[in-house]
Amino acid sequence: MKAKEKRVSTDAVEGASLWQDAWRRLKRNRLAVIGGIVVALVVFLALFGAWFVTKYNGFTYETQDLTHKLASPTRLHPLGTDMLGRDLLVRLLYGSRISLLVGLVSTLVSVLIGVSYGAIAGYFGGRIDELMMRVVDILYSLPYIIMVVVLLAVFDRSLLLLFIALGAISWLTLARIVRGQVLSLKNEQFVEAARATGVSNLAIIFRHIVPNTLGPVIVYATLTIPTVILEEAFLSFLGLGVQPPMPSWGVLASEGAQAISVHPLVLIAPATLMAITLFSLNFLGDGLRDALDPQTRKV
Amino acid sequence: MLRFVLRRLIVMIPLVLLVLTITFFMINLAPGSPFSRQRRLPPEIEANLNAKYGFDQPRMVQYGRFMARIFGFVYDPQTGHYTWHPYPDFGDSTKYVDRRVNDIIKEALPVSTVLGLTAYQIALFVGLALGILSSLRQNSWLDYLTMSVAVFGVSVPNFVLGPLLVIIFSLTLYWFPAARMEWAFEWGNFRIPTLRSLFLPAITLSAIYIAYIARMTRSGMLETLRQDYIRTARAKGLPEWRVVVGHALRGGLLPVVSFTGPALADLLAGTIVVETIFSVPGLGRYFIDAANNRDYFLLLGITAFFAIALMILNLLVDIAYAYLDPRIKYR
Repeated sequence: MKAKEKRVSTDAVEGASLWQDAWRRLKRNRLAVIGGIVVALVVFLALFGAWFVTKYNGFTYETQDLTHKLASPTRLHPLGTDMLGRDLLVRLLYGSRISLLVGLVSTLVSVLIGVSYGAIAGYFGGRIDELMMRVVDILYSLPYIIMVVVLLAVFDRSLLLLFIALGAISWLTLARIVRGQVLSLKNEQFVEAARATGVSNLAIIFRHIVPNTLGPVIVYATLTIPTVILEEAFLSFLGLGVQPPMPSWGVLASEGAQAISVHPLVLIAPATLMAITLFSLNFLGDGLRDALDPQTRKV
Repeated sequence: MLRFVLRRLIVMIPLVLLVLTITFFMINLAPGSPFSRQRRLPPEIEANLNAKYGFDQPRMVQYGRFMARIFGFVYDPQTGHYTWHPYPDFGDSTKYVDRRVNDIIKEALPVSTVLGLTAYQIALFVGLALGILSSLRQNSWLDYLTMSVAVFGVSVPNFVLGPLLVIIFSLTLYWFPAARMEWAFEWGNFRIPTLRSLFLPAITLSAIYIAYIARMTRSGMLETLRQDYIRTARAKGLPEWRVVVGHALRGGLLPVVSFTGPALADLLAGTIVVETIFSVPGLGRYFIDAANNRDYFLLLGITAFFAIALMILNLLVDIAYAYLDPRIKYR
């Protein structure tokens, strides 16, 4: 038993050198580095920015000053106020927190579903694989976003429902990717060794095989986050996602669109921050793909 | 090929029924009813309304009657008999009193189709042109312009672009009407909007596809132009435009076509947003309207339509793919 564990750990050491290699390649990709820095900055602002602004001018995301609606930027309100007299900057920063949270949690949900599903299908193979992948094919052809709209429209909208709904629609591709990886990994010697020592199937899948698929999973997850953020914004814009007064980029864009003829900044500010973030996330994802998986070309 | 198409069309039927079943139960398991949101109705009236639309029946009976309607069997609560039409009958709208879902769809479908087709053509034409030109003049100003357009199109979502276009072209320059339809052709319920009133919505809808198509055409073309058969074609002395159009474009288009498939679902979602922003009376706007008002039958009818449209378009994409890439054979 001990000898086998050692063997597994040697593999892990080789894996680490792969990660170092990827890290070196990533650092050479200037766009990806800039993307990463911008993402880190936005995350920092989203986490702490709203708190600082509240300290500064005493406005939270729902504090209203009805005497100053749609005000231009002043020292008190660096980005002005929206049509209900709320400080735009604090709403923008708080909204970033919500949007990023939705992006992150929904992506995690989709990774959990996709990885488990794909790994199980690939590992067991045969008829189970056939059946599970046929289900994925069928799900692929369903008009998902339409069904999410129905779901969110008829049930009470909550962040939790949003996480699950968005996560549940973006796991299909990931399941396919992981299955492909697992198919090639399951005949490796370390899997055989684990099986010979009597490790249970589920333990082999999740302790031995899944960690080895991490590279593609991370790449795909990074590229899923911007998609999910956009979907959240789309739903919130239609009034189905995050519910006001809580802000998110979609909610802010929707409010901004109503006031745009009077005061364009209420739309332009959230749109710009959103565009920059999505853009950086995409660059970071592309860079990670090049770094972790040098064979695949980017389209 | 014919067998492949037929088989796909047959598989479509259970898939659409599956979508409708899921949607039906999602709607029915949710709390509330179409009449619960409006002003509180006297209980007798609400009971009458529920009976009129069949909501007083057990869930499975409602489901059975709804599914029968899809096949044209309409249950008449007065006589208790079924009558049959040769087309699906989605029943009555609960929000638009006295209007049948079929009529609403008949009215909205041409509008959405024209909008979608216009957007698709703009995206294809502009995207391909930008992509091809920039691949032929790699690293020129045109190339950089194309790539900037691509960057802009991807990172500015349509619900931001739409209002921006309205404020620039409708409210400042007065070039296009804002949120008002002009009809080029009217015949009863069948109305076709003018290109002028659809121009801004179509541009908004197509922006992201222009970006993607330009980017993919460019990289696809760059790859193909390096192939041996392109060198052969040039060596034969073909004029450059024939090398590009006849030889390179075919291979360069493959990634674009395979992108079109997944993009179609987004296009449907896009029509919802764009029709809402520009108040276009198409399927997308009625869909959101129905979802927010729990107009069950309208919601299910439009969902069925979206599902069918999506599947047929996907099939067309597969056929186009086989046509472009002779290596692919469908059985």
